[in-house]
Formats: sequence, C-alpha cells, structure tokens
Amino acid sequence: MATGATAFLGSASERLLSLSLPFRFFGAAVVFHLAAWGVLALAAGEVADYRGGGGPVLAAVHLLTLGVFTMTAMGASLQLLPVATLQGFAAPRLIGLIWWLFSLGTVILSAGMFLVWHQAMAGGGVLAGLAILLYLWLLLGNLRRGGALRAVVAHGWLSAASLLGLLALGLGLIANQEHDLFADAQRGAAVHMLLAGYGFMGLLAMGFSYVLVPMFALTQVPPAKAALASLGLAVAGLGLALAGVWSGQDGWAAVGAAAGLIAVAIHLGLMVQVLRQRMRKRLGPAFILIRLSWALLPISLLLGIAWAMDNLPDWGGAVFTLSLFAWLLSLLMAILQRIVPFLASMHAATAIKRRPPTVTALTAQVPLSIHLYCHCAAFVLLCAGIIWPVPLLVGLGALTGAVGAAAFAWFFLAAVKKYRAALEKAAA
Amino acid sequence: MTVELTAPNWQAEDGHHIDVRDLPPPEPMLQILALLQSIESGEVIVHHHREPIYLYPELAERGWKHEIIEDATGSGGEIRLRLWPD
Repeated sequence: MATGATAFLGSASERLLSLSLPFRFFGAAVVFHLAAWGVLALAAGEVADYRGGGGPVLAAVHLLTLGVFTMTAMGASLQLLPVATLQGFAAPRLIGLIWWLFSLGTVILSAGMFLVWHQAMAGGGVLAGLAILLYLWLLLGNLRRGGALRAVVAHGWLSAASLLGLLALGLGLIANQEHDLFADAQRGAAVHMLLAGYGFMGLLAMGFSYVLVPMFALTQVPPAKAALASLGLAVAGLGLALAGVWSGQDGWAAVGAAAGLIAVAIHLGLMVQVLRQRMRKRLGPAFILIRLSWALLPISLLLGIAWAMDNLPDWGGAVFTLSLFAWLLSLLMAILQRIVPFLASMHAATAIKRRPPTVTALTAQVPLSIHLYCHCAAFVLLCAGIIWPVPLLVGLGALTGAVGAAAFAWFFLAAVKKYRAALEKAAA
Repeated sequence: MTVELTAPNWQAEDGHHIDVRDLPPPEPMLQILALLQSIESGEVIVHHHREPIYLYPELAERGWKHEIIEDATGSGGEIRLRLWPD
C-alpha cells in the first residue's frame, strides 16, 4: 500500500475497488428491489390504511430503504467518493464484511418485520446497524481528509450525521415494541422516516448529484457557493421539520418543508444550469428517471406541507410517503443504470488494451425500457389505489413494479455477463 | 461543444499536449474530451497528477485508445498518457 499522500492519489489500483465489491452491493440492491415489490404485492390490502407497526408493509418499506436505497448508496459512495475527494479507500476486506453484515441484517430485520417477530427485528437491526457504523467509519475517514469538491464533502458529512441519528432512532423504535421508550412512537417513526428520506438519502443524493450529473452529462460542476447555500437551507428546514414533528408543532414542520422547498429550487436550478452546458447531447433513458425524480422531490415537499397543515384527506400521509419513495427510487435506479455499465467498462479498459467493451455495448436497452414503463406505471397505480382506495390497484401496482424490478435484474445480469465475456475473450 | 477548452495545451513533435494537473474532477475529463473533439485526429499527450480512470469508458465510446507512457505518481510526479484514435 502506498504511504505518501501523493502516491495514494496516483494509480488506478489504489483508487479502484475490485469490481466485485461495488457490484456485490448493486447486485444485492437489485434483488432487494424485486423483493420489496413482491412483499408489497402480498400486503396490497393493508397499504391504504397503514398507520405504522409491524407486518408486510413495514417489511416492504425496509427492503426498499435499507435493501435498495442504503445498499446502492454504500456501493456507489465507496467507489465514487475516493475519486470525488481525491483520496483512497484501501479496506477491501472491511467493505466485504460490511456487505455481509448489512445484507444479512436487512434480510433478518425485514423477515422480523414481516412476521412481527421482535427478536428477529432486534437481531437484524443490530447487524445492519453494525454494518452502518463500519460504513460510516470508512466514509468519515474519507470525508475527514477533505478534497476538491467542497459541496459534495459537506453534503456527505451532514448525510452521515443523519444516518447516525436515524440508526439510533430505528434501534430505539425496535426496542420500544417491548419496552416503552417513546411517549408517542408514531411521531418517533415519522422523524425516523424524515431523517432517512430527506436527511441521509436526500442530502447524499443531492451532494452526489453535483458530481454524478456532470459526470454522466459531461458538463461542469455547479458553483460550490450556491450548492452550499442550498445545503444550508435544506439542513435548517430539515431541523425545523424534525423538531416540529417530534414536538407536535405542525406549523414548524410546514415552515421547515417550505425552507426545504427553497433549497430544492436552488438545487434543481443548478442542475438545469449545468445540463444546459453539457457536452453529451443524447442523455439516454436514465435521464428520464432523473428528471422524474427532480419533479417528485418538490412534489413530496408540497404534499408534506399540505399534510402537516391538515389540508389533505386520510390518504395524505400515504401519498406523501409514496412520493418520497418514488423520488428516491427513480433517482437511484437512474444512477444504477448509468454506473453499472460505466464501472464495468472502466474496469475492462484497465484490463483489456485492445478494444475494451464500451458503456453502450454493456447496456441492454430493452430491459431498461421495460423497467422505465413499469416503474412509472407502478407508482401511478399505487397512488390511485391508495386515494380511492382499491387494494386491487395497489396489488397491480406492486406486481407491475416487480415486473420492472425483474427487467432491471435482467439488465444487471446482462452487463455482468458481457463484462465477463469480454475479459475471457481478451484472455484467450 | 459547450465546454470551453481552457486547460493549457500545445502542439509538439510527438503530438498535441494538454496539462490538466491542477484541475478538480471532473474538469480534467471534460478538458481532455473537449480537446479530442476539437482535433479529431492525431496523437494527444495528457499530463495528469493521477490515472484518469473515469476517462477510459469515454475514450472507448469515442474510439480512442490509451497507453500510460510515464508514471511518476509514486514519487509525487505526474502521469503521462498517450491517446490515439483507433
């Protein structure tokens, strides 16, 4: 291992994890994606009236938030952050251990939630929590050394702080089922969800967008000052919203969400501005999902404000939660479909000197198109099924989502197969 | 092309040189691609402070090949990359 700081930056081998490591996280996310839709289909009758507590709905939610969102965030940040901060991760065994602990923890926790089995929930929660703490240790080590992209690093710090908070709250909520720790567990669960959606995942997604969108579209990074202003407003708004929800002051929650809306307006303005200057003309289907996620983020905040001010009917909470998940899932699926062939092509290019496979060659378009249509149809059906409410529509939505998830798994496996075939051909 | 070529670049006997050592990511990649788009043929020598691994898929997509011709990053120096159209 290189010892000098400059040596640490230089060669590909020290900044590039073995492809099997990030792909392990992405592969698990693909499987959990399918499982989340499948479990939701089983719980179709309970979705519209769900007000919290154990059961299949809670299991589906955690298969999505832990299994897809956090798993993807871990795999992407462990590979991309060293490049963004010009630092290096050199702990492949630890990363492998994190994957095992987190995968196992997510499976056990979700099974415990599905079966309303408190001991399994506690065991799975502790395993997943341990994996998250180890991941945070790696992440913070990288962020601590600073880097060239101030806005990305600042978002990373605040996202990590949110992750720590939501982990503590999540474990507290599990313990609360047998020992009354919270005066109002439903408010605790709402804070946990907001910290997860807008805090950990939201801030990480916004921060990474400042480097990933320029990288995908081939354009310049937006000015750090504006990105940091957006971050400041987002964090202030989130803090106010959390305090409001925790203490029952709905007005604070609404004002916090409004501040979040201004932060998002700045963020989206920056994204639109950098896209206008892009070098890549054809952005591809991933950007349909990215643009959809950009529309869903402010919609979720508007729904959040209306819900906090009691201006929505009974379905308000469920539709707000749905919009939050739709925003994050759209963005992460877009990132996954760009990053999987990109990383495979990059690894192939470092190993194969003669004609390495291109990103285009590694991207199967048919399954991605199927996924796109199914993804959009699934959320429309779910939304309609919750508003009316018609469990059959919810079930149809979940099954459509599962078909989309299966198509996405096809895309992922095709990329892995083509990458392996290219390596074998080069070795022959 | 909407990314302006601002990194120092010059023509020499062995090809067109570009120096992206002081730029934050993803600026080196953008500057190199902007240069490739402007010259379209001939050889390019890139001066960088690290191996530009994220550039490789973009090069492959555009039909350019790469080769490291000098790597002094281990002693705090620069890495030089030769690029040429396939």
